[in-house]
Amino acid sequence: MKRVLGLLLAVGVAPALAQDVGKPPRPFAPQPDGAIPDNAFGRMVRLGQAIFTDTKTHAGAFTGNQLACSNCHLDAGRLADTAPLAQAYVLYPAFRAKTGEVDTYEKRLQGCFRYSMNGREPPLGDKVLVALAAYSFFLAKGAPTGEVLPGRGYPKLPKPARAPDYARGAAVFAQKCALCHGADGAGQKGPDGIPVFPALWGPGSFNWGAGMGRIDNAAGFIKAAMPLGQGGSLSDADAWDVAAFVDGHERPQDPRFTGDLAETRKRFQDTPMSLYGTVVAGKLLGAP
Amino acid sequence: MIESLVRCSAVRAMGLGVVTCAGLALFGGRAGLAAAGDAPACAACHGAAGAGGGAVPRLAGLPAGYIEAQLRAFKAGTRGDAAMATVAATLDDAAIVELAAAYAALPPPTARVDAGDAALIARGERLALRGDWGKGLPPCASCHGRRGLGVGAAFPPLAGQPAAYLAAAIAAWKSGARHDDPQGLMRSVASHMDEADADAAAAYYETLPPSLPKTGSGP
Repeated sequence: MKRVLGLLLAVGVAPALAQDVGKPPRPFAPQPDGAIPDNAFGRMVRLGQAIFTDTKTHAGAFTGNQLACSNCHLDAGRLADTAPLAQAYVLYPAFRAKTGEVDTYEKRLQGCFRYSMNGREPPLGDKVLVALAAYSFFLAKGAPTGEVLPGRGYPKLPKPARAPDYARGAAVFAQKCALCHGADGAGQKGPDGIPVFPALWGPGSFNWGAGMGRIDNAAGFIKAAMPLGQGGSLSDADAWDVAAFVDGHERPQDPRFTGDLAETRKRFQDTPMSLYGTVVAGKLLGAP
Repeated sequence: MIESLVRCSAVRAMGLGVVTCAGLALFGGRAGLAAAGDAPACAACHGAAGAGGGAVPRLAGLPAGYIEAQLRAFKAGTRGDAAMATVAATLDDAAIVELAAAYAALPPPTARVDAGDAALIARGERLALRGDWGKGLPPCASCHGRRGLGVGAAFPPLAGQPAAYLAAAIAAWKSGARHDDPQGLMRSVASHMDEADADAAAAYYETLPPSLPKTGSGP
């Protein structure tokens, strides 16, 4: 048996090594769980991963819904084209139009809690942020800092030939999404009360300040990853339409709301990619 | 139960298809179901308590809507299984609804304690909770729940189902013998699983308790 294994290794590995000579280094791949060290740092990494995949249980003080980070960042934040952590980590600190400041990675994470988790920002230095940053740093081992790596963010779909359409999106949703997320978009829970399919709109979902509330982000994610296990199966047009449908529903208020919907839209969401403050299917979205 | 299962397997092995024992109560001796007369005895294979075993799934405590859909799929041939096709052919819609409701109302069996192969189960746990995205395989838990308790009628509980049954189901989706899954979701999933993946995931789910812990501390 040992000899057979040795033979296999010799046959399998030697040519690969020969081929690698003179080739560019392998593309970046996030660290696997098996590489988490068994020490204090490793324990913080594991906590970060636990927060990431079961956010309410491990960071419930800062969440206002039952979503988990890993609902939108698949494979526990590793999967390309679903805004993977490592590819983001190496781009911070960075100037962000959303805040008008140079934000650190931890500051960026605060925004996730404020908007996507519809909660409140963990204070800088809080263990929740330390753990998430440690997990991201761990995943990013070997990645070049400051480089936009393949798979970063959500893919930018080509602009649609016609405007994304709510009614067409409703039809796609009924056919492809409602089975899991429910016809009312509220998601579904198991018999133990734990959410299995995340809420896409309504009071249990991300708020109007979240990145996923922008149609282009949602369309990119949907195209890349939905239906789960069948990523890439929707046409670009279907992804745009269903994104407009999902983001054309009411959701929790933007925490930056000034008291004036039109003003809030103009200050924070003045883009055709946000339907906040516009009338969709007869409803003024974001109205208090 | 074991005896009935053995007998059932023997009959199947002989190519006779299905146990049709007029003498056996159809379903734990319940009058309403026994009235189905010549219908094959579910209990002969699924056990008096509907607990299943071997390649036979448990039915006790599964969502009624799911059981109904399976019986209809056996009848329609979209879930290929010679034995169950014969059974389902004898059931009209009223009997399907009645049987499904009766099994749904039965308490799920208590946890199976199956020592099993620890390495296999650990691999299965990883697939179940994290998937293997390197080959496009999402975690089982993303649709069947973290504890494998299922969601609604479309995503059945996996917890406590016999490993041989689960592995066979994955193989059936992969081969296309079973194509009753909504939106082809399980076909997609199964296409990314090799036999070792299927065995590992099945071994893991067999060890999970099929019902909620009595004093659960869920969020």
